Amino acid sequence: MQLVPEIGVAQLAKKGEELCGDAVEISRTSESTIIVLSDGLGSGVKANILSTLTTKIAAHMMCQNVPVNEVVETIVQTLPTCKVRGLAYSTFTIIKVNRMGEVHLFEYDSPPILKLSKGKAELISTSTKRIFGKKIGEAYFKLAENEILVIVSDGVTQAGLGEILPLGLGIDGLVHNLENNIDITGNAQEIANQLIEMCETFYAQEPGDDTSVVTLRLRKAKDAVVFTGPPKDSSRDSEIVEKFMNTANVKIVCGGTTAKIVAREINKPLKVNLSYIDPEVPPIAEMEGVDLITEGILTLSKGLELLERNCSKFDSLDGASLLVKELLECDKITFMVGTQINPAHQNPELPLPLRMRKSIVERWKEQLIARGKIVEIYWF
Amino acid sequence: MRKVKLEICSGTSCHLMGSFDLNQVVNNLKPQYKEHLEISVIPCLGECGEGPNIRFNGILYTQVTPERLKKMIIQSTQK
Repeated sequence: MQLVPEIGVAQLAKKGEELCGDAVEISRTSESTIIVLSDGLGSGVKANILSTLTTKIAAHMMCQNVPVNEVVETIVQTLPTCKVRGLAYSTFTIIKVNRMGEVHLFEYDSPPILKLSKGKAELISTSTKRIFGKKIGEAYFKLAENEILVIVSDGVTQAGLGEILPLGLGIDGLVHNLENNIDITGNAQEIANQLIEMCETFYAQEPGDDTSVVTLRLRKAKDAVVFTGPPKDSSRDSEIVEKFMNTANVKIVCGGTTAKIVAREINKPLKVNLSYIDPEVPPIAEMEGVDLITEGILTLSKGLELLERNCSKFDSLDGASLLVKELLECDKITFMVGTQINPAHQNPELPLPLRMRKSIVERWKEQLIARGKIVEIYWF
Repeated sequence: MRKVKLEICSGTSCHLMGSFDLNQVVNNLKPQYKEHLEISVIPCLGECGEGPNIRFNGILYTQVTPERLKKMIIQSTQK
């Protein structure tokens, strides 16, 4: 069975710093997903440069199937040396997971990796080997569906150090919280968010170190289709609605007229939710057989804005937040975009995005691809 | 008393032209008026250039202002 890793990332920058000194890079190849977490020496810009270089080099080389000793050698020889400490240093954890759930792990000077299975957390034990003078931990193991990996930087294990928790959270504290206080039924991003909020609390809102959490959950692949805009040729309505209803397991309609076309073709009543959650986003609607129905271009624009601002929380129940949340949980997204123009939308007094469905959908594609999704667009 | 059927368009154009304000009028109505209304929101009434639009007892009204809607509701419930 083909499984896909659902990944969540949440970070805190050290108090007083604008940039987080930890970096996370996620790359996908046709066979596997590569996740690299690195903690650069120090904090702020310098640490961020070190960790970003490390993650970029490691992820790129791992994607090309370069052996790990060459990856380590390249990182060690490339990192700039700190003037103060005379060191070129950053930790890293590299995870490579394929579609069968087989995981290959390397780490250097990082906190242990945790595997969560049926509510129990266990440390992944690694064997050590020396590569280019560095002690590299390595492990091979298999991850089953719904099992979760938790990868953290030392900002997590040191949370609360010297303050609320005299010795810091520690790996035992992390295990205890994962087993008892964190709701692990949510998606990977929700778990990462909960863990980072927990660390922020232990730090009393003033993180003493850059803090990063990466969570990975294996689940079955999930596809979505987004139908937006009426077909240019209305005689194709029924053919296109049929395609929409048979394309993917999550079905989303963005657009009032489009929703009315679907309702007519599948002969189901369309009911608009009366309440406005957000004055900027028109209300959502409901129809049997369709998972989410939102207004069209304004909701798409607002959702795109959330993605481009790199929001990681989508708690609101407005159409745009629901749309982004739903699509980020999917792996393959097909946009079916009708090109019929609503003459009223061409009114120059109305905002520009209204006349730019094409460019908004293209920007959605870019944002989703950057988050590791496979995106296709059909125009008709 | 027969209920008055009010449908408010929430399509893109109508939203931009002020259908949110029409919804606010309805939300803020006193219970004595609200109980005589059967309110629904619909995705598009097809008169996008003339919004915000409503259908009041089956009749389409365009360019409806909050004041006008309030007046229509009060008048209809007093009949």
